[in-house]
Order: sequence, then structure tokens, then C-alpha cells
Amino acid sequence: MTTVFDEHLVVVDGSDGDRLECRVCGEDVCSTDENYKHHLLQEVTPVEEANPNLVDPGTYVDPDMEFRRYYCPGCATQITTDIMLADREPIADKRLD
Amino acid sequence: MPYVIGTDIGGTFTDTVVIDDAGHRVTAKASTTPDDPVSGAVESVTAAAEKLDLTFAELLAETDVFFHGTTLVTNALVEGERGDVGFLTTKGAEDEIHIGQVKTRTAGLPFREIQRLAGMSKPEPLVEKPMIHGITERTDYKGEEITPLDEDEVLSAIDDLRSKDVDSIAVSFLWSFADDSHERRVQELIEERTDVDVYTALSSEVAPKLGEYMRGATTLINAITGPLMSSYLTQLNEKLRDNGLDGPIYLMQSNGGVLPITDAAEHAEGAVSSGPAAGVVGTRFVGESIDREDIICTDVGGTSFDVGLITDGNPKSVPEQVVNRYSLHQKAIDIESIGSGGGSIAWVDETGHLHVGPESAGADPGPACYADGGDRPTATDACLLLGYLDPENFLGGDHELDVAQAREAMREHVAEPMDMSVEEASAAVVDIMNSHMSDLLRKLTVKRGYDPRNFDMFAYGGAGPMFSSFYGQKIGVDSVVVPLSRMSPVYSAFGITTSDLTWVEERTDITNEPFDRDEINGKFRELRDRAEDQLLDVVDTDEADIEFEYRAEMRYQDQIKEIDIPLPDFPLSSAQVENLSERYEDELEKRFGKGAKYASASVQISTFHVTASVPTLNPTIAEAKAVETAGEAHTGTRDAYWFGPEEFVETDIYDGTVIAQGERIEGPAIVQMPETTVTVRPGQTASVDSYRNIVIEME
Amino acid sequence: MVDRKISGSEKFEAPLEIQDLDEVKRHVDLHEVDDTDVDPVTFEVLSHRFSQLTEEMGSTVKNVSGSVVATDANDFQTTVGDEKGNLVEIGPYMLFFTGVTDRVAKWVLDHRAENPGINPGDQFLCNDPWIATMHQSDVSLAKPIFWEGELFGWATSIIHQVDVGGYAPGSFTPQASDVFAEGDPIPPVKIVDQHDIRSDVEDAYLRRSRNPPELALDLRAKRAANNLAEERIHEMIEEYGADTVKKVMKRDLEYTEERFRNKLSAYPDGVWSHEHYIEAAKTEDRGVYRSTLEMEIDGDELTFRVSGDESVGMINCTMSGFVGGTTSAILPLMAHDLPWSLTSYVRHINYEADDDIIVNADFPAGVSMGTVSGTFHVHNSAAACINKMLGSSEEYKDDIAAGGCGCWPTENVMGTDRQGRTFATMIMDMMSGGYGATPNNDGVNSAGNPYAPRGMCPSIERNEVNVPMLYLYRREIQDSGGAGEYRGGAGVEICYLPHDVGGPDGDPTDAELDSAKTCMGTAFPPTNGIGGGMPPNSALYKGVRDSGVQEDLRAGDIPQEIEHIGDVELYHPKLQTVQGGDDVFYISWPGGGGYGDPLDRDPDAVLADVVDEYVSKEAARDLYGVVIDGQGVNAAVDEAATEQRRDDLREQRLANASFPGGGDR
Repeated sequence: MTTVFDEHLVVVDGSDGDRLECRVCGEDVCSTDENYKHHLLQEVTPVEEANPNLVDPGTYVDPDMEFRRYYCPGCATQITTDIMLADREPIADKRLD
Repeated sequence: MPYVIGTDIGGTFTDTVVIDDAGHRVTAKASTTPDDPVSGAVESVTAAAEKLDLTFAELLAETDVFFHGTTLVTNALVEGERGDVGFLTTKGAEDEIHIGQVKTRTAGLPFREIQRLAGMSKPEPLVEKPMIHGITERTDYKGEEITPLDEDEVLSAIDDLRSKDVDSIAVSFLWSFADDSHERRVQELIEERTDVDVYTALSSEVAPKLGEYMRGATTLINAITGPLMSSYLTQLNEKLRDNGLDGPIYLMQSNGGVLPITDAAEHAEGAVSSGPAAGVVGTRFVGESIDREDIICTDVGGTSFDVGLITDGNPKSVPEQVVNRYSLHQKAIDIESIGSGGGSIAWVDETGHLHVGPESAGADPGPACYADGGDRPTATDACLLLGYLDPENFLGGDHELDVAQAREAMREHVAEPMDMSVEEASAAVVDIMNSHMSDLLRKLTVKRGYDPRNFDMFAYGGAGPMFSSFYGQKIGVDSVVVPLSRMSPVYSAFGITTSDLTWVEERTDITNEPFDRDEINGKFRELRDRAEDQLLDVVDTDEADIEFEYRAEMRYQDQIKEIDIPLPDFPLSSAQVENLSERYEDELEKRFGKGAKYASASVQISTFHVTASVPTLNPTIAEAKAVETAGEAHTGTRDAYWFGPEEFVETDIYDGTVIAQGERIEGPAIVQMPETTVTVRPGQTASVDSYRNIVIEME
Repeated sequence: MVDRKISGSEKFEAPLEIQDLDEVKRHVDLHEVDDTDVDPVTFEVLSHRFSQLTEEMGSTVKNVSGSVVATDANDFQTTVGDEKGNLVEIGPYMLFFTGVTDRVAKWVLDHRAENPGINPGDQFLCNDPWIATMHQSDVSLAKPIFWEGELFGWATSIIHQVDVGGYAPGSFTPQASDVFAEGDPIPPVKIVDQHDIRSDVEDAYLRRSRNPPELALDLRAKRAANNLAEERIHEMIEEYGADTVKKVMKRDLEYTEERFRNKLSAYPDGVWSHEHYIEAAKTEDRGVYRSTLEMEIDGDELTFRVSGDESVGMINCTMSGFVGGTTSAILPLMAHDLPWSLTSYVRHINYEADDDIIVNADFPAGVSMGTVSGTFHVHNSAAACINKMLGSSEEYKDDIAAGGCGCWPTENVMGTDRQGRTFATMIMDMMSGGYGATPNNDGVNSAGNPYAPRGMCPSIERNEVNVPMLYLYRREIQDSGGAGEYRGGAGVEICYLPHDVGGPDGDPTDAELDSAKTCMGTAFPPTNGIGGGMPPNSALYKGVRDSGVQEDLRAGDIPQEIEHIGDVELYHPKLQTVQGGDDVFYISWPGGGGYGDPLDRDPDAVLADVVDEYVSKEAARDLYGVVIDGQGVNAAVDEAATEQRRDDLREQRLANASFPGGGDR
């Protein structure tokens, strides 16, 4: 039985509990108990690379900021992106109960 | 017996009305032929001719005037089938027509259609970006040239557009209404540069009003639909002339007037959404003949309820017209609509609450009783189940209504979920429908500061006469008139024949208080003279026959919204000029209550507006003699449900085609005709006058 | 964090419900009903009338108000409520005001019933953010509606006023460290006393403003709208009786709440969260401030929890803002097919907020930016949480709309108009941001702002006649829409300079305009894409001083890029400055976020974007992996190169990325 987790991930029954899987290529990502972002490939770039019209945030602010892109380790599909303070941990922003 | 013909090309049907000088009327319908509209029109006129035992040509030979209305322009815009247009505008303002002041996302849409964020959209652009050229030139707010016109850029733009095979070019520069010299120069350059005629539209001519997006949209629509309209009207003209028509041929405009078809193509945008305007104009005409000047005009069709207003014999208009979410700088008869009609679907939501509409079964699949695939109960089904409609005599017996289907649909979707009988459910549906309609009516009259109890009501359209005795009662008018009774479903075609030649001149020229009498009169005079010239150009008439109407759009300075104030006279005296601000503030308070005006705020006139009109030959509508009753008008009885007693009551049925003039019918009663059905409630009284209007006096 | 709590200010912290109903009833007779039994036809008929009523009120506000704020930006709201102020209906206007106007009524009942009393014909004015608004610029007027001696219901109208005092023109006060530098909050005061405006109270209200006529005209607009509501409600009562009308109002609330519960039950259960930031708490500040919002659905229960940085500078909002930020996201994403009877939502939702954080700031924190920082900050996060939730709902995922234009760079302008009078106004062009992409369509370009369904943008010409300015350009911004399988809608930019300040014969040495700027969302985009979509652009303020542009224009050149005019300054997002007669200013605002992976976008769609200049060829190649050759009508997709490019980009993704926790592939 599968439950949709988001646009690119589904929850499937695993032998050891529920697991997240990529809907595009079937890659097993992690257990639903974990922070899924820890198990996706994360690319970190400067924020201003996220859109051609952006300027370096450092022009305005002191804390470092990052643009983080998360890919399926199997097919490299871009699953989600985040604009974050560099010293903030990736947030497990989706949890089905 | 010279005839007047009115032919209206609608979305589905092309309707024709033929009236002779004794007032004898025949009507006919044919299917609209969208690929070749002229042939649908010919078919429709031929069908009418046959009822007079004449051929198409014989009828035309005896015809004095041919009036015409079409949805060609509206359809072209909505369906996006149109020629290629190029657009020249001020450099830096190229995107204004795409930004559309953001209004293009919501204009004309009811609230429920803008609640869902994921469902938002804008209409197809009037012109694609590669076809837009920004030209270096600039005029400022006072009409002063800031940047001269770069003629090389203009020539280069023209060459590019020619290489793209455009059919027309629209030009709209910022502040062109304050100074049009740059636009005029562009027109000269286009004429010099192109050896074939490229249709050109200048915003300073088409819509010289403040607001570059709306001015640009109006000009683009003129340019887009001009060639289309020109080709169609030329064809029509030829067809009619070749078949023996000598008299004038007129085209209906959304401002309620007509223009000769030889000139109408240059102002194609004027024909947008002209159909509903015709109903209001026809009502003014009929109303005048029976001494009614304050009328609420109601048109109930299958999917919508359209309402207009006439006060002191003048239809209310608005300065801005919305078509397909585009806002045009164009005066139009004010018609407001809600999606409430014969096809409105009754449904119960998951919490058990009853609703009617806004979804409609339309004409396809239609109400359940049409047995055409519709299985949801509609207002028409409710009316059938309540006994208002005769299943065997609907549309003159052409289309038998299936009572069993109606009953089943009502039972399954409303009666059972609501734990009601089918009859109770039908009564609830009709009650709700009528409440929604009377709410709209109340809102429209009251928002303009009027009391509906001081009005009469006219009801037409396919379903108007069936519902009007209810919503008329609810809203408190004295009487409801079903104008020209059997004309009801082709009322627009009739309405066009009552329209006058009309030309509008307007210009934004922001003028602040204190007002100078000579300056104000001068600005109006310039427009008046231009309007007069235009009319004299297109029609052979005496200057004395031209009537002028003068209006000033006024507001508080810095305020956005304007109110249209008619001038008491022209030219204005000094006292009248001084009094203008007071007239504005009185109207403000009338509409928005005491305290809406603010003494320290200063008033300005933003747009000057003159409408010139010349009467056309109008149809005769009186019956030459009283109808000889072929037999009793009373044809029997059946049970029908009425809200007063809240039960089914044996109800008299009458044949509306043979009711004698002056005969009075006491409600409850149902008057049936092949074209429409009229209900008369308990306590109401109906009669037929010499024009065959059915007049229902409210309780 | 506020330096020192102000004792004596506790009275002005408004809770969500009436505190002492018995005490209220000692001074005012309330019309109440015991049940909500009403026949289905009457319910449908009267509900329909109520839903029409707030739009009628809105028409009155727009028609009588002096300002483009109301007529175009729709930065106002009209509401109708029952005897306790519970909102039965709100208009399709500024949805941020959803957490607000019932609390004015409730506070008035608790605190004004005895002294000075609540009587027929009274109307109460309030702009106190701790009682019932998001910032002092939003001034509400609440009218108790009586019937036969009993208080039957409430009508409220609220409009954003251009200037209500404070240190900076336009009252968004970039320098403020607390509310005392901003416009003074006014707790509810009886400004209309038994039908007449009290001139002493009106004077006190107008005295604080740089634009008293605007306040006075808008006061009359609100009064007229509230009076209209009373008239309509009286008509309904005359036709149906007071009890029946009231039962319909109460039933409306129950009905909406029931349908909302059903919707919540149909959504998946879970917790979705979003972290969002605001840059710069005040002038010259270079900090980044964080709030984290969590949305939990458990059956038909909905909870919003927020934590984050303490209140600071002038970027904060009060509880009103927290509530308004969430409900303004709920209505168009979750409740678009339900009546917008506000109280039904607010009283059903559980709100949990830490004390004295940016979005639940204690008095006397600076809140003058309340709508365009704190509340918008919550709104963007709430919309993101809702979209994430919808992504796991098979039934409702088509309701996703990625974050639309997520900020409003304010530009308040003051100076001498062409008649030689002082004016103060706001540029309202920002009502043209892009909407976010959806699972089935690109976001709408230059669409408005998601919290103002009927918002409009003034024409260039209208602005040039009302404000002494001249535009060089106004256009949709290339590459502003967030990339994705579906592209976010484009945002818009403007570039302009002063023109004929003081009139055509104005004093050239006095040709400048005062400018106050406040913005959240310049240092980084204020919203992001969804489902792998990319963010849109950010807002930016730029300028070129002593530009010489007037000469360029006369000489036949209209610059189309501010960079071509001279040295461009990038302005701090909290700034008060002056625009000299020869200074060119530039402002841009965001488009919408993208939906889905840009490498999945149909190459033909990218081609169309390039032809229409929504996407540059470079971005087509870099973000979408689509290679386009040729120009204009000859532009075409190089299919082989595109396939290769996309393969390369995917390989690069894998090569450049790593697991955040460490760990092997």
C-alpha cells in the first residue's frame, strides 16, 4: 500500500516499517521516522543562484545564507528547495500521521 | 405596407422580427451559422418572409429600414479567432496591455469565481509581445512633448509588422488624449510606408480617455475586429442590396444606438455585447408608448438573469464596458447579470443545506424535463412540477416535456436529501430563485439611490414572463409588463428596431474647481461640434433633428471613482456652472448616504461627454384592430402551486394569442403562448392592452 | 524583545473572546437567540443577502474614499457580525484583516459598555494593534446595530490610511525601535455619537496625520458603509423578524464551521512546517530574523504553532497579525468553496504562539510594518505549510498554488503637488506581483497579491496625474517567475523620477520628494517554489542620483535600464530618504514560485517563454536545461542539445550534492 508523501515521494510498506520512496525511479530513500532531507542529496549554493534577478544577500545582511536543493539519489529529480540561514539544520518539514 | 426588419444574430439563434406600418408583427428563428453568418441571417429573414407569403426579395423590396445586431465581435474576442494585429506604444509601456492593471484577472467575474487561488488566470492577450513595438516618444500629463517622436523607429516597426503580415495596426501612446500629434504622425508614416491598406486605429480617436491600458485595449479591439467586421458587413450589404433593399441598414451598438453599417466597421468595438442593450432600448420604446418612464428591465434566459434600468425615459449606462475580462473605455448600457436562469441547478451540500445555482444545465444537457441527457433538477423542472408549464404545449408543442424525468431528478437530488415531498422541494427551489433575482434587482436600483417601489418592471427573454410575477411582487413594483407578449424570446431583435442613430464623443481633460463657465462650455462645444459633424457625415438629416445629451464625469480631486452627472442645460449659465459641484455631491449622497460628501474636498471634472442622436424610422407597434377571438381565451384548468396559499390550487389556463384587449384575468392564472408562458399569482390581475403587452398588476 | 513592559497597558491586550459577558449585559441589552432552527429556504435566501452585503459595503467604501489604497489596492475590509461581534461575513478585499475586526467589537463591549456607553447611532474608531489590527495605519470603524433597544449586530469597515503620524511620512517608520516612534495607537473611541461625528474626537484623530483630508474622507466612507449595513439588516429584520435573521447569522457560522471540519477531515493528518526570515529590523540593521511555523491536522482539528526570534525593531506584528496571516492563506487555498464567515475559522483553529516573538509581539514593540512584515511573514509560511500538506492529498492537490508575490516594498511619498499643496501618498503599483505556479498551470503573470482577490494596479497615467512623477518604464521582469515544471508568474518593476513637483512653474530648488521605504524580502526571495520548484526574484530598491535623465528625454532617449543611466545605488530595505528632482528611483517586487522540477518543463513551453521574454535564453539553458537557437519567430528548440543538456545537469546535480548528515551514497 502506498500513500502519497509529496509530489515526488511516496510512503511504502517496508519489512521494517514505513519507508519513503521516489515516485519517479523507485529509489528507496529512508524510513519515515527519519528526517527525509538527510537522505536526499543536498546541493548548497549561494542564494543569488536561485533566480537571475537576486543580489548577494551579503549586500544587506551579515549572517550567511544558503540555497539548498534536494535531489533523489537515484534519478537526480529536484524534490524540494529551501532558502536557509547557513547555521540552521535541514528541517523535516513534512510528516504524515 | 412598408416593413421594418430587425435581425439579431445570437450565439445559437438568429432571430428576425418584421413589422409593417399597421403594427402587424411576424417573427422567425433560424440557427446561427457561425462560419458564414450572412447565410444564417438570410435564412432567418426568409423564414419571416414566408410567414407573410413573400420571398426574401419581395420582402426586401417592401422594406423601409433594416436593423441588425450581431455577436460577431464578442465571439471573435472570446474565441480568439481574429486577424493579426501589431501594436505601437510608448517605449517603457509595452507591457501595460499584459499587466492590464491586474483587472484582467477579475473584471466581470462574480466573487465565487475568484476565491480559488489555484484557479486564477488572465484571458488570452489581445496582442502577443513580439507584435508590440515600444517607440521612443513621450508626452506628459499636461500634453507637453517631453521626447520627440523617433520616426526611424516607427518606420522600422512598420516594416517589421508588415513582414509579419499584420491585418491592422493599433497605436496608443501615453497621454495621447492630451496631445495626439505623435499618433497622427504615425498614421501618416503608415500610409506612406504601406502600399496596401493596413487598417490603422489611433487611441486618440478611438478612446481619448485617461488610462493607457483601457485605452490601448479599446484601440486594439477596434483594430482586431475592424477588418473582420468590415468584410462581414460588406457581404451583408451586398446581399441585401442585390436582393432589392433600398433603405438604410443599421448596426446595433452597446451604447444603445445604431450606426449605418457602412460606417460601423470603423468602430467595431462599439458592437461588442450589443445584444442585451437592445432589450433595454426596446423597453424604453414600448414603455414610452404606455407612459412608463421608470422601468426595471429584466431578461431571464436559460443561464443568466440580466437587468438594466431606465429612469425618466433614459437607459442607465456605464462609462466602462467589460468583455471577456477586458475593460474598455466605452459607454455601454448598464446591464448586470447573475448566473440565475431556467437552467439553474438545485443541489444539496454535504451538510444538508439547499442551494440553487450558480451551476447551470444550460441548453445542453438542459433541464431534466428536456430528456436530453440532463439528470439534475433545474428551476425549469421545478416550474413544470409546480404546474406552471404545460408539458404538451411547451414551445408551441414542438418539444414535449418529460414530467417523470423532472420528478425523478427532483426527488433524488433535493426532495429525499431534504426530507421533503417533490412538490415542497420544487416550491423551495422556485422561492430561492426568485429571492436571488429580487436581491439583485434591489441591489441595482438601491445602489443608484432609487426605490424600486417607484418603478415598473418589464420581463422578457425565454423565462422572464414565468418568474416575473414572483420577483416583481417581492421587490415591490406596481406592475410587471410582458412587452409585446409573443415577442418575448426574440425581444432583442425587436429592440434593435427601436434604436436611434447615435454618436458619442468624449475626452478626458482634467479640469479643477473653480469652474470657468466659458472654459467648460467651450470644452463641451468642441465635442458637440465633432459629434454633429460625424452624424451629418453618415446620414442625410437636418442639424435641427439632432438631439444632444451632455454629461460630465466628476469626482473629488485625487479620488479614483467618478460619477456621471448629466448637465441641466447647454450652454450652462454661470449659476449652473457654479452649481455643478453641488449636483455632484447631491448624487454622491443620494447613492452613498448622508455624510458621504466632504466639504473640504475639492471637485473636478475628468471627462467631458456628448452623445448625439438622430431618430431612425421606428416601428409601429399598435395593433390596427382588436384581436377577434377565435374562441374563448380560457382553455381549461390545471392544478398549480401558489405561494400565497402555499398549496396546489385549480388554476385557469388562457391562450395568450387570443385574449381580447381589455379583458381582465384574475390570478391565479397561467397565460400560455407558443413562445412563452406567463404566470399570474393570486391577488394579481392581468390584462392585454392595444399593443398586446400583458400587464400584470401586483397585489 | 521589548526593553521594559509598560505597566498600565494590560487593558489593551485584547483576547479572542469577550471577558465578562454578564458585566456587558448590565449595561447593554443584547439580542440573543436560543437555537439556530430556521427553514432551509429562509436560510439560503438570507445567507445570500449577507454574502451580497459586504460587497455592497465595499462598493460604498471605494466610491466614497479618497484614496487609491481602497479603490485599487483594495487595502480595506468590510465585515458584518452578530451581537457579540462574531464575523458572519467578510468581503473579498484585504484578507489579512481576517483576524481583526471581531476583536474591536468584543473589546468595546468589555470596556465601553458602561463608560461612555454603547448606543444606537454610535460608531467606534480603533487602530490599536494590540486590540484589533496589524498596524496603526489600518483604522477600523465599528458600528453597533440596534433593533428595538437591543444590540443586534455589528458592522465594521477598515481602511489602510496613508498617514497616521509617526516619525516617517506614510507611517511605516523604518527608524523605530518601538511603537513610541510610530503613529500612536488609538484604542476604541466613540467618534460618531448617536449619528453625528464628534468634532473634538475627529480633530484629535486628524491632528496626528500629514494628510488630514484623506483621513476625514475615509472616515466618512467607513461611516457610510456601516450605515448601509444597518439599513440592509433592518430591512431583513422587517421582512423576517429579528430572531429569524439572527438564527441565520448563527447558523451561517455553524454551517461554515461544519463544512470546514469536513474539509479538514478529508485532508491527510500530519504536521507540515516552514522556516521564514525577515531581513533588517530597522534602518541600518543587518540582522536576519526567523520564525518557524508548524501546521498540524489531526482529524478535523487544525493547529498553528509558531516560535522564533524575539520581537525587535519595527518588523513585528501582534496576535492579530498571526491570526490574519494564517486565515488569509487558508481562505483561497483550503476554503475557496466555502463561505468566508471568518469567525467560523478563527474559533475553530488552535493558535499557539510563544510570548513576545516577532509575530506575537508585546507592547510597546514597533509594529508600523505589521502587514508587510510580520503578517506577510506568517502568511508566506502558512501558505507553504498548506501547499506541502496538499501535496500529499490525492483529492485536493490541484488546489496547490506556490507562494505568490510574497512581499510589498512600501514606497511612501510626500511632497508638493501640482496645485502647490502638500500631499502624502503611497505608490500602489506593487499590486501586480506574480502568482505561484500550480500543478497544472504556470502562475499568472503580474497578477496582484494573493491576499487581495480583487486588487488592481493604478494606470501609469493615473499615477502621473496624482503624483508629480514621470515613468521611464513599467514592465514584467524577465526571469522573475520561479523556475519549475510550471513557471511562477512574473513580477513587475518600475523606474521613475519626479516631474513638475509644485506644478509646471514650481520652484526648481524645491523639486524633491520625501521617500520612506520599508520592505521584507530584498535580501532573499520572500517565497519559494513547491515540489521542487525554484524561488522567484526578490524586491529591490535602487536609485541613481543626479541622473541627467530629463536632458536625455528631451534629446530623444528614454533609458530602459536603470543601469544605463549612471551609478546605481542599492537601497537598504528600511530607509527614509529624499528623491531629488533629478534622482531616478527603481522598485521591483516578486513573481511567484515555481512548481515541480524545472528539468521537467515542456521545452516548447520554455520556447514560448523565451519568445515572450518571460525567460532569458541563458536561464532556459541554465535552469531549465533547454537549448534554444535563433531569435524571434525563428527561435526553436534544439532537441538533441536539450536532451544532452538535461542529462548533463542531472549528472552535475549528483556530482555537486552530498547527504547533509554525511554518509555514503
